Formats: sequence, structure tokens, C-alpha cells
Amino acid sequence: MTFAKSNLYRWVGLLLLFLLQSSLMVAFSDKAQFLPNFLLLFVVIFTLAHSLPESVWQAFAAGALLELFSGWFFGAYIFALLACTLLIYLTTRKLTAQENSPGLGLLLVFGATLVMALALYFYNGLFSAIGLGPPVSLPQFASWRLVWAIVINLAAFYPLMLLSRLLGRLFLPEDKDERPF
Amino acid sequence: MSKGVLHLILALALLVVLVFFRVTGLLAPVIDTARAGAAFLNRPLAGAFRETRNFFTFLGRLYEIDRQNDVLAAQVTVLSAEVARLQNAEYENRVLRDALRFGKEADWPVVAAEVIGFDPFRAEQKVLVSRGREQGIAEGNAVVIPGGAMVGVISEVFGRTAAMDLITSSQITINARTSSGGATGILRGEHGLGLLLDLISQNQRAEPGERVVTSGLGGRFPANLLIGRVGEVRSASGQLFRQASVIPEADLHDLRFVLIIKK
Repeated sequence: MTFAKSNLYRWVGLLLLFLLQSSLMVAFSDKAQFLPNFLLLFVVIFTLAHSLPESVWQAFAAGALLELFSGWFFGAYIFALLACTLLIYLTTRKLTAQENSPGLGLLLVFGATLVMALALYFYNGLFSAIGLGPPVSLPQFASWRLVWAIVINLAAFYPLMLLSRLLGRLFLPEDKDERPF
Repeated sequence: MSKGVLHLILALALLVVLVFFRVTGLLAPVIDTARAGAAFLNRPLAGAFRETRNFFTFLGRLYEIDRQNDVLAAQVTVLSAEVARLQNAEYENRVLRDALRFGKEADWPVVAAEVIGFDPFRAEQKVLVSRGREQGIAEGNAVVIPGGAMVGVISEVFGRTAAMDLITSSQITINARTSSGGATGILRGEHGLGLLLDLISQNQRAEPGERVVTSGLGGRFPANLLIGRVGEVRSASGQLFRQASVIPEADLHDLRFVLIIKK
């Protein structure tokens, strides 16, 4: 029952985060660079505490939601979030021998934001090369917007993680293994 | 092969299948319905955020609002006289046109639409609007804001929604001219960073501050849609053509309602 409940809460939480992010984008469209990417942060937090199979499908779902309002060739966000999940999983399970720490979490957010931008550029560049999508240029990504995105995501990471822990304790008090740190 | 890698491969395979469906158009109704649903669910939240933003903006601008009120009150008097003069000019224009049998000025059929989504990165300069094929929208329709300034072109149409490339997108090219008629050229978006009026002949003049409008050549877009104003004119000796940067008239970062001109 706990497994089914936790799955339900995850999917509902993902949907609510998506609605929050998209409605903030509409209301603050001229300040878009100051808005965190909640779905990316959700994928980071989720992957830190769950297995690769579960994380892969959560990232897939998050990417599919982002595709609804995407300006990229279809599949770019799905691909980018899958890449971020793989990066986080490999870093925390294969490359580092230490327990997850706050510093590592921030480093992962930094890396995930960069990887997401690179994956979007690579994916769209690939389809643009075969004539299926519009052309992209590196200056569109390597700009001050990416720096702002990293800063804002870093600032929003811990509040979001603490909120997820709090909600986990409230709704799943019997499941003590939900914490990434 | 570990379970995790297997799931990752399955996810990538599913992505390939979905891309195939998207390219063939089979996924379009699903995406369209999901977008319309998300836009519907977003509306109350976005409205609440907008009101909160307006409240704090108002608090921060109380002094400025009071000062501007005084300035605007003085301007109302001046503009009222201007309106009277323009109304007289409009009447004269109509009389002369009838006299020369030019006919009535074309009234464009337009559809009002709400901007419902932006890409988080905004790099592609594409936004989504709440009207689609059911309202008679088609690819290539010009999009303007209330006031008449052009902001984009419809690039993709679904049943109830559509995607619009902003004029600063690299996908956009528009036949344009300065309002004085001194210069004609091709207006291109520069990857979301600005606009460039290219291929201006060396014997034509474009002055900073001049208005840039659509020329109507080729029939893709109506003529005389305001796009922006000339910024800087670049000319090098030995080159066949000049270039001019163009500052968009509309604030492309703050779009809420737009008008789509149907063909």
C-alpha cells in the first residue's frame, strides 16, 4: 500500500510542479530567467534517492510534460532529462564513494543544468542537421541566461528538497527511506 | 545487462517511437489536447500570480504613478487636439480615395488569441497561443498585438492551439521597408537577440529612429504592418549592401494577448 501511495504522490507532485512552473512562466514571462526549473530539480532530488529504473521513468514523464510548451524539436526535453538522470545516477552510485552531502547536491544541480543545456543543443543540432528541426547556434546557450539558470536552480534546490522531505514525512510517515541526505 | 540500463534503453526506444509519431502527425491531437488542458488548469494559478505581481509592482511604483499622472493629464490636452486633427485628416483621406476610386482600405480578418505557454529557455523564440485550425488559423499567418505592431508568424497549427515564431527568431524573414520608403530590404531575426534589416542597397537611405514596416512584397504578409524602428545603420565601403539593426516596437518578453491576421 505504501508503494502505491508513494507512487501516486510522486506523479501528483510532478504534475503540480509542472503546473506551478508553467503558470509562473505565463505570469512572469518577462522575468523568465529568474524562475527555477522545478522539473529539473525534481528529477535531481528523485534520482538521488531512488533506483535508476524508477528515476528513468520519472525523468521521462517530466520531460514529456515540458514538451507540451517546448519550442524545441519534439523529444528534446525528454532526452535532456534522461541524460541528467544518468549523470546523477553515475555520479552518486559509481563515481563517489561518500555519502550524499549538501555540497554534492549543489554540484549535481550545477552539472544537471549544464548537461540539460548541452543535451538540448546536441539533440536539436542533430535533428537540424538532417533537416527535421530549426538550426541552433551555440551563443543561444552559452550566454548569461545559462548562468542565471544555474544560480536560480541552486537557490531553489534546497527549499524544494526540504519541502519534499516534509511532505514525505507528512504523507508517508512509515517510509523512512525517502530521504536523499 | 543491468535492470537500470535496460529501462534506459526502453525509455530511449519509446522516445524514438514518439518522435516518429510526432513527425508523421499522429501525436498532434494528443499534444494539442494536453496543451489545452494544461492551459485551462494554468489559468487560475497564472491569474493569481499576475495579481500578486501587479500588487507588489503597484506598491513599488506609487510615487512614480502619482508623478506620471500629472504628466499624462497635461498630455491628454495636447493629444485631444491631435485626435481632432487626425480625424479631420481621416475624413479628407476617405473623400480623396473615393474620388480617385481607390476603394476602401482593406479590413483584415483577425482572431484574438491568448499566449498560453513559453519555452523555459526561450532560446528558440517560440510561444504558444490559444487558437488553432478550428478558428481558421493557418501556418504563415502574421501575428500582431493590439495596436498593430507585428510580433510573429504562426509556424505550426493544431486543432485548438498554435505555435508562433517571434519576429526575432532565426526562422523569420520578412520583406520590409522604412516608412519613408527610403530603404527596402529583408528583415531577419537573429536567434532571438534582435532584428536585422539586410540587403539594403547602397544608394538607399535608412535613418536611425525611422519606422520599419512590412512592404507586402510577395504577398506573404499584409503591407504596412509596423515592426520596429531603425537602430544602427552599418555600411562598409566595397560591400554591395548595407545592414541596419531594428529595435522591435512590441515588448516581445511581455506578450499576453495577440491578434492573428487570417489570410
